[in-house]
Formats: sequence, structure tokens, C-alpha cells
Amino acid sequence: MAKKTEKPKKKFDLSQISALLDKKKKEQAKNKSKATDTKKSNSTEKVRNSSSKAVDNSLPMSLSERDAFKQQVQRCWSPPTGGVKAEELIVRLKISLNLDGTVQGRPKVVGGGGLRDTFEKVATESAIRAVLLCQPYRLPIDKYERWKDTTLNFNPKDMF
Amino acid sequence: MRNMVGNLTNRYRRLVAGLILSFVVIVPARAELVIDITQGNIQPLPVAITDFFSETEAAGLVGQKIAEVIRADLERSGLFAPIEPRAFLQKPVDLQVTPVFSNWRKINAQGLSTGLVRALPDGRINVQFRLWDVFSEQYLTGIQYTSQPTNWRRTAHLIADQIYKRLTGEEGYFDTRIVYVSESGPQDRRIKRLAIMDQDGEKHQFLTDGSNLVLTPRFSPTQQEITYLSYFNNRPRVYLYNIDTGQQEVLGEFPGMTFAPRFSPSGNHVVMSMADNGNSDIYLMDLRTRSLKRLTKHPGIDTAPSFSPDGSQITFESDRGGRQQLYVMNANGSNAKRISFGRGNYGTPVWSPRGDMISFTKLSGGKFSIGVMRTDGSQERILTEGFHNEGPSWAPNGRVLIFFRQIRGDTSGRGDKVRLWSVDLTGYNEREVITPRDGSDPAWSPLIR
Repeated sequence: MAKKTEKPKKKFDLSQISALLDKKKKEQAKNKSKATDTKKSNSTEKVRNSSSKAVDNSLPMSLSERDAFKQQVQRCWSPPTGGVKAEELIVRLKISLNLDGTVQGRPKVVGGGGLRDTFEKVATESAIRAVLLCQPYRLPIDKYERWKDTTLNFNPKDMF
Repeated sequence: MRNMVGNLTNRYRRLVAGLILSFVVIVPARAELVIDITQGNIQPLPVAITDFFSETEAAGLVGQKIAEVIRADLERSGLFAPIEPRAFLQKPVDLQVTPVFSNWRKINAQGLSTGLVRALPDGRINVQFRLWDVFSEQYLTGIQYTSQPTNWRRTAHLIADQIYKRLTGEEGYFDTRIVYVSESGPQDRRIKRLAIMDQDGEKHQFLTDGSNLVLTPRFSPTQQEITYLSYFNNRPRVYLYNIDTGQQEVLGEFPGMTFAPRFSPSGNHVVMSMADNGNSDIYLMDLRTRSLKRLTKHPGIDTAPSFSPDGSQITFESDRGGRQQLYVMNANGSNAKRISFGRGNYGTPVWSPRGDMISFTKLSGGKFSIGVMRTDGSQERILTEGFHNEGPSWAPNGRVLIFFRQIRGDTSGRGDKVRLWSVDLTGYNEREVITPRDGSDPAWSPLIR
């Protein structure tokens, strides 16, 4: 039995590869329709599946695209230095971007950090300033769904 | 066998079904993009400090001078890059309401200061200032001061401190003074006078006439009061001098003393080293009762003590381990521990006002350098190095140090001019503090308040 199943694998056939690719497409479509069915019955799934629909439309951001985005923000980030525990001032910002790479409204501060004391306030402001200063961001338009909502974690630990 | 095959087939079907099911369930939601920003581009913050507007010409001139002093203070700190006023697209007169932020974004200003000077009927001036975040289009802070017009320079330093604090999160240090030893004359007949100036070198004045040699002035951390050492009939005598009142008193004559006492954080005690039968140890003096308490009793030379800002510990230099090194002990003299372990000799330790570091002078490889280390001796960093750098003193915010530097004079190895320099904790922002003559032994005051 084992022999029988192994045999076809050894053969290299281009047409089979394309068939496999097609199959993957078919499977994706199947999953999509299944997900749509679930959507009707489950409100929690609704959000997840509407998002997975977006996955189908765009490829994930590649490592180099993410890195290019990162470089664009880093260029404008001048975090406060020299303060006691300056390296521990981590700021998390949620931003919404327009198709042209500009920032919609003001970045939102996420998490417990942010505005507890003067140092956190200044660190947060430096991160917000960086985000606003370096816009518009050059990002792949075909992947808009992927980057239109982005969270930026500003962590200066490696700088000091 | 058939049953087995049947079972296997069923199991296989269930497994496949399970896999498909789990594939459906674990289809990832379109995850929100998360980017980690781990490296910044540390640059001085571009700020626009506009002239303080006034409706009268005289007050308008004061408004211009105030803005100039603020720009100079911020620029010297190394953390700000004040923009040349000629680039401004909005005039001070138009800035008395909310600024047109797009005009300031065009010249890349990130912080914007606007203000107003009013001459009051009683002869005083009222100075109002506001600070804005240009990119967020937000009002950050504002304050107003009323004082005599002659006090404009201090008003400028106070505003610069407000800007510094609001944009860096740290206390400013511009409304401070520096006391130092002004030196003149040939090396064998050196005249040393006590002098005082603002931290930017302005408002310079001499406090002593030069008839007696003066050494190592030290500021009280709580008030505008200093101690200093002076040789009277060749005996070291310690004086207590109130800068505001000009009142001076002798604290005592102390044999073998080479550094003036340093104040405790409360300002009620001073800690000093004194020689008893040729052996130098650390003593604590209560300024109210003038009683002395011996803190160290060691055959080695213990000297140059300095309190931690919480008053619980003292750092000092000692050769008890064979070479001159830095130590930390409890304020009662117990539990002395060596903290410096690098090559060379370490001296003049000074505890940072914010408590996290100790600065020192280090002699190694024929060079004198100024450095800092954590209070447990870790993370030693040399901030500046050269022929002769010595005697660091902290700005009240613990971010900048002032020290004196002598440059090599000629090939014989003798030193030439002695000047005051400041350096910040990064070691990159090093500036000369201009004095009319040579200067040594600087001491930075607390904020004037």
C-alpha cells in the first residue's frame, strides 16, 4: 500500500503542479464559501471571515515591504534621550492610513503606557510627532487592506 | 484484514475531515499590521522661538532679547535646533492667536514658542509665553512672569527651562549659576579669586579680591550658599558664603584639607576629609551645632566625599586598596564598598543630583578624563579625555557636567590655559563656558527658584 502511494510523488510533472495550484485555488474558494456560511450563523465569526475575505484580495506584506515602512518611520523618530530609564519608555500607537499613505486623524495611544508621567508623555509625543512628520508613507497600493490599520511599537531599548 | 482496512479508511476520512475543519477554523483573520520601531534618528528638535511681541518699542526690544537668550540656552543644550528667525513665515504680531501651523510645518519647526511683553504702569514688565506642538497642532504649555525690566535675562532662562521641561520631560537647568575659581598671573604667583556667573557665562562678577588663595567652591543643593577653602596664614580655612546676602562666616580651620566640604542634600550638614596625624579620613559636620562626627577610620587616605541625593550614602575616593579608587558607603560610615575597577586612578567622585550616576576624574595612560558610572560601578563611560580634565560638577538636572580643562602648553609638558567646559551625558555635546580669565574648580548651583 505504501509503495503505491509513494510512486506518483517521484514523478516530476509540470501539469500536475499547475493542477495542484488550481486545486489550492479551488480549496480557497471552498473555504471562502464555507466561511461565508458560518458568517450567517455566528456573529463572532462575522468579523474574522470578513477579514479573511480581505486576505484573499491581497498578499501579505513582504519582509522587505515591512522593513521599508519601518525605515520610513524610524527616519523621523527622535526619542527622548538621557532620562532615567529612557530605554524603558515603550510607546504603542495605532494608526489608520489613507490610500495615499497619509495618516487619518491623530494616532491613538494603545495600552497602559502613554501618559502616566512626564517622561511617558514626552516619549508618546515624540512617537506621534515621528508618525505625523514622515507621512505620506510609500506603501504598496495593492496591499492597502494589509496596512490601512497599523500598530507601531516604538521601543528604544536597543538604542541606549 | 478488511475490517482493519475499513477502520483505517474511516480513521483516515475522519482525520482528513478534521484537518479540513481545523483549516477552516484557523484561517487567519486579516491580522493588523504590526511594525516594531526599534531605531531612532536622534536629532536636536527643530524649534521656532519667535520674538516676544510688544506694542511699545522699548518692551519690544526686551522681547527680542528674551527670545535670543532662550534660543541660545536651547541650542547650547544640544537637544534643540532653534530655527533662524529670518525663515519664519508668520510675524510675532500675528501669533497672538492660534498660529497657522501649516506655515511652521513648512520650515520643519516641531515646537513653536510665541509670546508677548507688556510694560505695566508701575514700571514692571509682564512676559507671557506659549508653547505649541506644530505637527499635532496642540497647545503644550504656557506661563507668565511679572518682574522689573532689568530682570529680563532671568525671565528668559525661566522660559527656556519651561520649554526644555515640556519637550524633554526633564527639569531644565538654565536658571542657574556657576561659581568657580578665576585664575590669573604667572604660575608661581597665581592669583585665584572666587567668581560667579550665570550658566551661560553672563552676569560675571568676582566674589573675593584675590589676596588669599581660594579652592574648590561647593554649592548647597538647597540654597544659594557655597562653601570654599581658603588659605589664611597658610592654614586651610573653610568659609560659608551666602551669595544672595554676601554674608560670610568661617566654618573652621581644618588641617590637611585639600577639598572644601560638600553639603548634605538637606543643606544642614557638610561632609569633608580631614587629616589626623597625617591620616586623612571622612567627617560629617552638623552646620547648626558645628559638631564633628568621624565616618571612616582607615589607615588609607580617604578623601573627596559626596552625598547621594537621598542622603543615605556617600561616595569618596580612597587608596586603601593600593591605588586611588572610588568607594560607596552608608551615610553613617558603614559598609564601604569599592565601585571602580578599571585601569588607572579615579578621583573626585560626585553623585548625580538625580541619583543614578557618579561622575569622576580618571587618570589613565597619562590622560585625565571625565567619566560617569552607575552607582554600583557598572556601565563606566568616559565623556571626555585629554591632557588635563578635572573636577566635574553636575547641573541640577543630572544631565550636564561642568569641569575644567587645561590644554598642553609646550613640548616640556606644562599646561597652558585653564578653561571651563561643559559636556552632556552623551559625551557629544561639549562646549566651552567663556570666562574673562582662566577658570578652574567650577560648581553648578541648584535652580535659583
